[in-house]
Amino acid sequence: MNKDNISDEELYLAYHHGDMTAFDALYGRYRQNIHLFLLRQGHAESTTEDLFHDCWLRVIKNKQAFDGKNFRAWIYTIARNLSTDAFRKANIRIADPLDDYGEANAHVSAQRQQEALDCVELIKSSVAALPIEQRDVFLLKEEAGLSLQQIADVMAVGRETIKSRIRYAMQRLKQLMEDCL
Amino acid sequence: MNEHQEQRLRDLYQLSRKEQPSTTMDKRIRQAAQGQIASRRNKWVRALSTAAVVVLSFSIVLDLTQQQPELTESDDIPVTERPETEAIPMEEEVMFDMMAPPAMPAATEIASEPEPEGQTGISDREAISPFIKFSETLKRDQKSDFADQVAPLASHTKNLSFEMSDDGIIIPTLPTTLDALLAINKSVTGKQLDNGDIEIFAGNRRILRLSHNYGVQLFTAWPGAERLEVEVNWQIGPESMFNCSYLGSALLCQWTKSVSASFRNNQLESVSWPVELR
Repeated sequence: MNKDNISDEELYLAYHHGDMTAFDALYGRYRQNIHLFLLRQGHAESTTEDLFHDCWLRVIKNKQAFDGKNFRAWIYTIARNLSTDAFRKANIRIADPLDDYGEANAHVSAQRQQEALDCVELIKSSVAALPIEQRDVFLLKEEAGLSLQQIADVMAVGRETIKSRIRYAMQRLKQLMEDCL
Repeated sequence: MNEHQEQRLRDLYQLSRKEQPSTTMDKRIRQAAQGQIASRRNKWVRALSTAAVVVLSFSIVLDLTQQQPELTESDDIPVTERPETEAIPMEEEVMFDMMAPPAMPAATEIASEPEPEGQTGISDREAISPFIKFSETLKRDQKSDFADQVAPLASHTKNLSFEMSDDGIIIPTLPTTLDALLAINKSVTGKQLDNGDIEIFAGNRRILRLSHNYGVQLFTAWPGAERLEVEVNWQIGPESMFNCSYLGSALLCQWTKSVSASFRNNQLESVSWPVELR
């Protein structure tokens, strides 16, 4: 049975009624996206693997936590929360999302820019170098494909705050990627 | 920023999206998903079986309690007399049947069979012992399910004690012998140098060194050290550190009171800490 036309929510429900092919379809849709979302946060590879595994375990086990409305937003909320918790455990400072550039950051980004020959590699490290809140917004938009309102719901802030964070994220990326633009 | 630049950033990001989770990870997740379905099915079967056992046990206990007065009242039946062919005691038949829940006879059926003559009643405890055995089997199955779910999560965590240094990275208490370090993760290799230093490698890349300088034992970790449970945010910049100073082309900073960090071209290159964390 072709599951391409079945919504995420229907697949999830079908899985919990015992249909493993529904799970396979759902997993196939999100496996790379969730993996990249976690990897681009800047976690070490082994941490990314652990977080990825934990994320899917929660999807598998915590059906009662899903409101049935938007699977995409739900799974990224789980992934984001796990990522934030991992940073908190390592006591990584979660920067003020509206931090201005500052001289030190500009110096670091210029250095990084000079060294990177490959713009595709540079975008990876540049995204990882964003403050966590800006990085989340960027990844939820570019990786997860969520709308501004959905991102606002995931991050539990207002839509205007999300717009500001996106703007700051793009400005910072532009600074880090100047030679590539 | 203009539209063109924004689009260029987005395009570059999309081009970068190459990494995939491993097939091993895919299998683990799929197994967990299958396990969840199986355990949900088993729960229903167990629940029904348990309910049936409870009902039957209760019936048997009731039945035995009711039979006791009949036996004592029956003065006509001499204790020494026994039937020529000694039938299997009714209670044992019942116990046997209870071990295979789906095939349990109805409680009323059992109660209506005649009591063998001269047969003394079994104790209440013996009557419900199959139920106890069954519930122990139940607990064992649940435990095995749990182990199947938890074991994959725990498999990467070794029996090391962990210390969190003052305000940042997670530094485990590492052993100081080559064999013990290699035992942490089978994927790494290592060697002991002539001067006694130990180096651990992931492929060709050095990820850990234990060195001895002026009587002080020092660990140094490089990217890849997470294989040895050393968790570091390698993306962190020198702006998060304190007491930075240049030593040649390396920028040495103090990350915490115990951990120092070395940067080259503003990229965190390695972290060091004494074996005895302060």
